[in-house]
Amino acid sequence: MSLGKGLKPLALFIAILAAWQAATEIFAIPPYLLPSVTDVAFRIAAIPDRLLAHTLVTLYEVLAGFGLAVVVGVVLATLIVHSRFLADALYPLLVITQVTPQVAIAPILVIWFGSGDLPKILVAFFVAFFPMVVNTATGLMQVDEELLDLMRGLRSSRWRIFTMIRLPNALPFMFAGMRISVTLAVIGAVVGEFVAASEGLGYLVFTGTANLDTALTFAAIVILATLGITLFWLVGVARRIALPWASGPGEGEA
Amino acid sequence: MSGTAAGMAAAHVEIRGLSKVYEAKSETVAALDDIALTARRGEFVSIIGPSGCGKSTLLKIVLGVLPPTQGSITIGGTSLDALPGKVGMVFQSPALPPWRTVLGNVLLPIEALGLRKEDYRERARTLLALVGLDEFEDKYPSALSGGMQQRVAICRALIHEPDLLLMDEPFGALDAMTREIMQQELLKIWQRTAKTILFVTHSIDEAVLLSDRVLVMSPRPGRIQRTLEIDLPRPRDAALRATDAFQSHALTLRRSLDLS
Repeated sequence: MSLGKGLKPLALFIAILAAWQAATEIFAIPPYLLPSVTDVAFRIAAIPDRLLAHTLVTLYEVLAGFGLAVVVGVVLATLIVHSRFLADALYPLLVITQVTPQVAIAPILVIWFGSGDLPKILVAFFVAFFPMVVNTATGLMQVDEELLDLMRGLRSSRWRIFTMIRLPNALPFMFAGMRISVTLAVIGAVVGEFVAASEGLGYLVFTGTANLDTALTFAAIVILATLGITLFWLVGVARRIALPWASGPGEGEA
Repeated sequence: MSGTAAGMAAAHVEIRGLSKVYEAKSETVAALDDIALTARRGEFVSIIGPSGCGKSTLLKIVLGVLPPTQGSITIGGTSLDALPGKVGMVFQSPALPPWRTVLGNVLLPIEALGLRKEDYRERARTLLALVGLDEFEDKYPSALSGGMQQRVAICRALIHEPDLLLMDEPFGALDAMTREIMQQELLKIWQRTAKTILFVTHSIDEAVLLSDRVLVMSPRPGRIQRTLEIDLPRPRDAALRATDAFQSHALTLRRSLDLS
């Protein structure tokens, strides 16, 4: 958390921007190939309302897909942990959903659900739910055996052991999963927008390149990156508020 | 020695004919064989033996998390199965959930038993004061030293007023100095609460210092090989170690364990 630690990546980032700006000017790169940093900045400044509207569309898809991924992920993990039968039945299917490129599912979802928000939310969900399942299941399982013996010695029901021990034990793991899931959900939403969309940042990236308006494409990419970083950071903030006992060094590695 | 008429009459905890056989695919392993053990109310009984003699298995059976192959356990004449919450347990690791404060950890068994936390909050504070942790009730376990964590674990084992306290090498993970301090703490707690204690240890010194009676177990299958009454005066403190009587008991135990 030292100042120097935060300054180093910032300094590198500024250096990269400067090199980019210098390269476009020195080599006179045409803007449709690579717009300069100032081109992109001006493009963002020129149409803030339009960009904000598209950002809100994508943000909505990301949050809906992410929320669905968290809920479904936690439920699936609970089922897997509590039933050998369900674990055997579900696990191969889960692996199949992960080895299948989700990008390939997106066009089918558009055929089924039209070109509205729903297929984008579903792609975001499909990309994002697996880390939630794996992390939550790990957290529900990785419980101190002696603590479980203590609860069983008091004749606690499985439900009580689940709510008092397993679930709180899984919380740091769930937050670690959410950090991964939320960034994956951004990717999912953009992929969904690539296939068929009339709005959203993915749509802007697509139309920008189609019209050789590369500055617009870069503007959308910059906003997407900012969105991803902000969501990632917000999950960290939520973790610190929700789990005051787990704060300090080692955060996020659970 | 445990079979005297007086000892039997006042038996509080009684274990009879207890065996545990593990059945693997091709072979059966006898972990415990015909264990008989009685303890008077308020008696401090230690179990000592080499690794793999089934000491921990025995405690897990008494705790009720492992079914015995044969035998019965009664407390005050009632079968243990009918008595949920009559046993308190302290492990070698404190096993404190890190998301619960010190007070929340002590109250864990109350919640696990479905009792009202409010009714036990004062008792929890009294127990914490007894081990000098009353200032720490809102702290999380990560802020506590190993010895302090184990004190919280002892308070937790006593909060639901169990008839029997089980301790499985509770000080085995602590450094030598903390260990001596904890032994004195435990004697103090035991004298205040007058609990019957079953204490498993590797340490001859610890067994002699703490116990009224020490049971020596032999390995594979675990049997009680010898019982030794420790008739040293109480209250005891660390200075007792230097006395001839202490050394003589320690030597007897050492010989029973084939260590000298």
